[in-house]
Amino acid sequence: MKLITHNILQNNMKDGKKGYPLVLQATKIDKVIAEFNQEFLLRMLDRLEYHVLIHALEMIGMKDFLPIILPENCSEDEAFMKNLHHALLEIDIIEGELICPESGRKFPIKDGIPNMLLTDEEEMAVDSEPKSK
Amino acid sequence: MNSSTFDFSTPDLGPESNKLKDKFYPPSEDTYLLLDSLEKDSFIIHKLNPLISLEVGCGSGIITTFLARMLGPNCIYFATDINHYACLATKYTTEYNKCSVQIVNTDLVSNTKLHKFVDLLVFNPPYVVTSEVEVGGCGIEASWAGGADGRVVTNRLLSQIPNLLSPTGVFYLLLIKQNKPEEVREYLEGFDIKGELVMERRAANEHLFVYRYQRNKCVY
Repeated sequence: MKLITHNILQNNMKDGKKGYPLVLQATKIDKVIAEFNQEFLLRMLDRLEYHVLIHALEMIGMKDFLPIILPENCSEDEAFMKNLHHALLEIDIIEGELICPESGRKFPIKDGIPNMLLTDEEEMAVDSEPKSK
Repeated sequence: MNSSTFDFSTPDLGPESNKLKDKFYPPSEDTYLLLDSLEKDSFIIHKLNPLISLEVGCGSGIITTFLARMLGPNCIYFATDINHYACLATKYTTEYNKCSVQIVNTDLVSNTKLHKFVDLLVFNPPYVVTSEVEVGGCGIEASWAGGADGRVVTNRLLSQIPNLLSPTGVFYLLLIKQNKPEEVREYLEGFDIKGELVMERRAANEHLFVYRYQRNKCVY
């Protein structure tokens, strides 16, 4: 699981409450190499919760890897863009847990894949989207 | 870029995925119709320049691999499946094809935060008409058991489409005749999302359709 995925995962609870961002505890981390793509990163910054990425880095012991506040003119900051690329796409959480900050519910990460499945009972408790038909 | 530079070949699953055979839905006629439809629409998709791609129910991973090869590294590819083995197969298939895909083991898009986020959404749903009791598993049966009209699982995703699609987002859905495609089109039209038939094909006893849905206000 890359940190870009951590950015879009949450625990949907009853009463419409959301557990976000999820606490990340990593027990096995791999480094992978991904193709650097500046255009992709700049577009992604618009859709990303940057503070959640910073939080995720902190939780895996990589505090200070990126500035807490998104720098102005970051597209011209080569070192920043390289680090952003690494943070989003090259750190692979192989084993660990995602933990809901509200309920403490744990979601395991195994083989690099987060398991966000709820039990039937939990699903009943979640205010589901109105079903069509 | 002209179309001759795109790689439209059918991806191989590779040896690791093949070891999990019988535990996930293998590429079948419906899969190939979806691949052909995405190839047919490749200019439309390229023009939309998607940043976020999501395949719901990724199964073997063949469709997401095909997309990743077609669109390259300007896009991030998310893929979900309720079946743990399908997630693993997708991981192996995408790795074998040297594609980077972000896989989440979940029910459709449960526990994700994708509000108006998805530029390219693809779903090959469990479309077979079955009894209700067959729906709701996490194994290979989740890849085909569709309940009443073969629409029970599809309907759960359809209700979320208006929330998921970005302003220019496009959604590809495979349906069979028994799923009542016209009803699906009318349902999404109620959310100002228009549907168009991309391809149809008769295969054995199934009449398969692939539809493309987009917001009416979308300009591309």
